[in-house]
Amino acid sequence: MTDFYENDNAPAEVPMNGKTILLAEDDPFISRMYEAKLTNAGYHVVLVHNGRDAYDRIKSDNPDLIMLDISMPELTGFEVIKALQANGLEDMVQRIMVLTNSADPRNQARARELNIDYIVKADLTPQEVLVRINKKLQVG
Amino acid sequence: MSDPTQPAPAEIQARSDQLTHIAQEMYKKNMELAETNHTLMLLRRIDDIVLSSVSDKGVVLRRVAEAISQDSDFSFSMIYLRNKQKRSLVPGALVSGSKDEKLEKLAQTTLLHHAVTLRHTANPMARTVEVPFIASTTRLYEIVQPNLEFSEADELQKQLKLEQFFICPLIARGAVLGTMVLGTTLTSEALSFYQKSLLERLTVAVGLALDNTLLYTEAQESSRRLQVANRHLKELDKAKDEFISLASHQLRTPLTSIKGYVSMLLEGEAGAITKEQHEFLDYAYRGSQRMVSLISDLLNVSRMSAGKFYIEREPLDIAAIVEEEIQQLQQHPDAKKLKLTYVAPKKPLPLLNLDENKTRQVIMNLIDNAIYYTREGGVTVMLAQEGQHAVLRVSDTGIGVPKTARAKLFGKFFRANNAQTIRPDGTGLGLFLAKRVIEEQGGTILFESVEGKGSTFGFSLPLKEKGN
Repeated sequence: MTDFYENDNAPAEVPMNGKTILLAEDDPFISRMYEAKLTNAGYHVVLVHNGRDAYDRIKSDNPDLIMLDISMPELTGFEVIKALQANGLEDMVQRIMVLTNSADPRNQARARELNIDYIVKADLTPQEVLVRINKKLQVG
Repeated sequence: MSDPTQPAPAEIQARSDQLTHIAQEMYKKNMELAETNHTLMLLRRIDDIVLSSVSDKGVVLRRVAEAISQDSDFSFSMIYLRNKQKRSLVPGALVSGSKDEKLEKLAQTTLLHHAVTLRHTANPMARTVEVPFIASTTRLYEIVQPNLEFSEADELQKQLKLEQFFICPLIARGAVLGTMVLGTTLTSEALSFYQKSLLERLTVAVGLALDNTLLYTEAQESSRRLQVANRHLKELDKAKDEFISLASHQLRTPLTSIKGYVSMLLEGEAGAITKEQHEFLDYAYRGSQRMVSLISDLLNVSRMSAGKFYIEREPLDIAAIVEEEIQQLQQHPDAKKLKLTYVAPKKPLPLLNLDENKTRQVIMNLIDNAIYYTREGGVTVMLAQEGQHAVLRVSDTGIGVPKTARAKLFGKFFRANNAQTIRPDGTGLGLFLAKRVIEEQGGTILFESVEGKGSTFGFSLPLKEKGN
């Protein structure tokens, strides 16, 4: 077995894959963490830190995937979804992946109703999140 | 000439007397029966009043007084209630029996105006509370003193044409609850035996009626208080839930960073690390991962105790979950010393309707436990279809479960002694939650063990949900 931690090529130089991910996350540490992981994996990452900016940038940037936190200033994640639906941006709703640390089971039920992926951030490592994203975008 | 078939005149007379006597007796018996019937009807009427859904005790007492006034010779009926704190009798209801509305009103205002203090023992109403026997008087003044002047009381009595008053203590369950005064236009001599016995029966019946009414009022008051308390508890419960939710969120957020960044360092995301750095970071990672599980477990236990533990079912490939969990746990350094074997089902299992997160947690817990409590040998994970069930068995060659610990093994916060030694920081929630999660989904937990030799933990889940 190769010990990967002795791999001198890290961090891997991965060419950009041309996909844009909008990351809506108000916690700066978590935001930076996913940004690093996704950028290293070849994604173009757009960062926003509140719900209002998330909505605006979804509209203007047409991202391939949206990582949406629930508990955010200005607008919550679900309010962003509502605003998208109200403005005929249903196709964007289907690009959303909810990432939250909420312990409220109603949030999960809501996401399921909308047929949106729901991830408890603490449950997965950034690598595991990346695997889910790649799968959703059929990358890699 | 006498006809031998005809009786002698003397005999005729005797028989006639006999018949008259029988007729009289029958009449008397009939009257008695009518009286008894009457009494029973009145008592029944009082019962009906009490059993009706009216909850206002003033209304109930008023109806009882009306019933007695209308259906007995005691046309005057007055009820006072005992107030224990104030040591007095307070006016409850009165029916004077007068057809004259003005007079009725006068009686109401004059006689229902004052409380009778129990200290005033010259008043027989006050006396019956202390000495609970039926008393009688011919003077209205006696029972209204000292609140009413003699002349005023006497005038009222004359107008009402009342001859006699009976002061009856209303008793229930050994306590005097009040006093009833029954007045009649008949003189003492004219009162029949039945009327006197009716008096006693009415006293008992009204006592019970009053008791029931008071209990009912009390029950309503308690029920109202309970409702308030219940509302308060619900608010508290909600506040507690919100607190736990919030605390979990607050804990998970920094933990996401710790676990995430450490995992990235481990994966070489920030450059190569030495073997020792890897080892240390791995410990940090495992610590953070444990904390994540712990928060999940605590959330689930809290939801369970609040009755808010819900299973969210979706079609699931259980084999895929088992394989994913094994793959993850294989990275575990302890697992590397062991032989971890996976025996897949012979043919693919159908999709099962299960709660993914909770079932995954159970599978992870069972395999993780097996690895933790096995120092040498191996862990075998076997998934198979057995009849109409998907069965998972996780067998190890570990420390096993002592016989004495088996009964409590799936209890909340329980930890066996030998497990405690190996893993002092365990919470005792894993198996407790596993049992609950599996049973909530219609399955059963499997368990067998030989202490010192090893254990098999697992579950059996129906392929089809019941009722589907």
